Amino acid sequence: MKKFIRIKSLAELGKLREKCVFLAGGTDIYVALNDGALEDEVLCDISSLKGLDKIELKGKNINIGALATFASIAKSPVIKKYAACLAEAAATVGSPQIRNRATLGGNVANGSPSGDAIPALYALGAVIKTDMRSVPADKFFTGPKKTVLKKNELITEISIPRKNNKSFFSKIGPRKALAISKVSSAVSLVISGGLIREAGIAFGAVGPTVIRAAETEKFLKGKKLNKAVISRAAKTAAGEICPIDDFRSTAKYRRETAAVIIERALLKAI
Amino acid sequence: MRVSFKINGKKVTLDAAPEARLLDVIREDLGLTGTKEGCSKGECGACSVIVDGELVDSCIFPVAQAEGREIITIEGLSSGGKLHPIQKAFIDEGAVQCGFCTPGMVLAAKALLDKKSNPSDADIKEALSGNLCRCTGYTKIKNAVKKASQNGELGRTKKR
Repeated sequence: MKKFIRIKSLAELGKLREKCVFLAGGTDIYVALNDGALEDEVLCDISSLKGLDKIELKGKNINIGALATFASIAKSPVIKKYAACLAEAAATVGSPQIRNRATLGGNVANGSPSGDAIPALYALGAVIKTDMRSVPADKFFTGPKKTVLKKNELITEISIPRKNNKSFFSKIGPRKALAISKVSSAVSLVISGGLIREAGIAFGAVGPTVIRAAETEKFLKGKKLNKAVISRAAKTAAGEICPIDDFRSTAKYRRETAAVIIERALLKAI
Repeated sequence: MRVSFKINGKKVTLDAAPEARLLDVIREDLGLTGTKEGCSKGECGACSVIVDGELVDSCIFPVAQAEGREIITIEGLSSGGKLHPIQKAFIDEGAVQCGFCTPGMVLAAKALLDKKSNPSDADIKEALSGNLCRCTGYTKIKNAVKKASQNGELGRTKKR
């Protein structure tokens, strides 16, 4: 690290000369620093920006400030009610110590394909808001740890359209706490009159970014949720991901497991 | 930078690099070596401390963010030579082997019991899930937390 600065208001963002790495809860950045990485970077601590940790229902949206921690997201009544899969995902992040510090904005900015909140954001149709623009979650990530963020562009809020939905998150890891996902999934369904009106399905850790299962979503739309439909949806979904072998798991295991977890999640929605 | 915070009830002001890890400031500058460094990745919980009532890993916590806050380390639990009921329960239940994880475990238990004085077994497991013990196992540690929760003295020690 070259320099450590702090900003106290969004107005100070525009005055930053050097390219910065933004620091909030530090749960990714300090791990990298402790490893000797980020040597040439300027760290800009944004943790004291006011009002960026709010979670609120506003009109037709649930707005979550970028500095909201996973602990606060996991227990938020608003998120539990309208974005249950995000609350479930938040509750599986790291450990109590990590959830007390790690922020939703940081998870998004870090851009890991295994970032636990991200499949939920895809499934829920979330929009990532920065100080410059709004980008749909599924257009935000361009590769492993790569996003559309430009120099000193700061994520300020994540906005989720409020729907009368059922949503679920699942994650497979070597153990319950402090496990980086081998595969994760989120599903959000709007069901009325016995038919699926809207489906959002996404998988984590099975591609260069989180992947939306667009074919599966299309297949489910207008269908009645039953065992045959679910089994077909799970097969379709497994064909839409592109997992690899790495030190956490194998492509074969990930593909088979992805089908299993999405099947289980859909069964819960019946 | 000049940074001020309260630690174990005492106000301190010191000079530190803003990026310095809270862990190093606690151990090196303040000489409170009860807080341990394990993995340096926020995965083992040996460096756990309580900041404004929340359990955090001090190895991934910049001291700049400690400004104006209230920190509790393991040294802040006993009072006047008398052990905190959680510490006492760890001894009574044999929940300590090498002891390296113990300060973090005790603080994780305190962070839980300060919020929930009568936790379920699942609450206890979750509260300890960010702390690793490599010696023995977790049964005795869980039992110790349960026992501490049943100790009537606990309510009176909330502040420390």
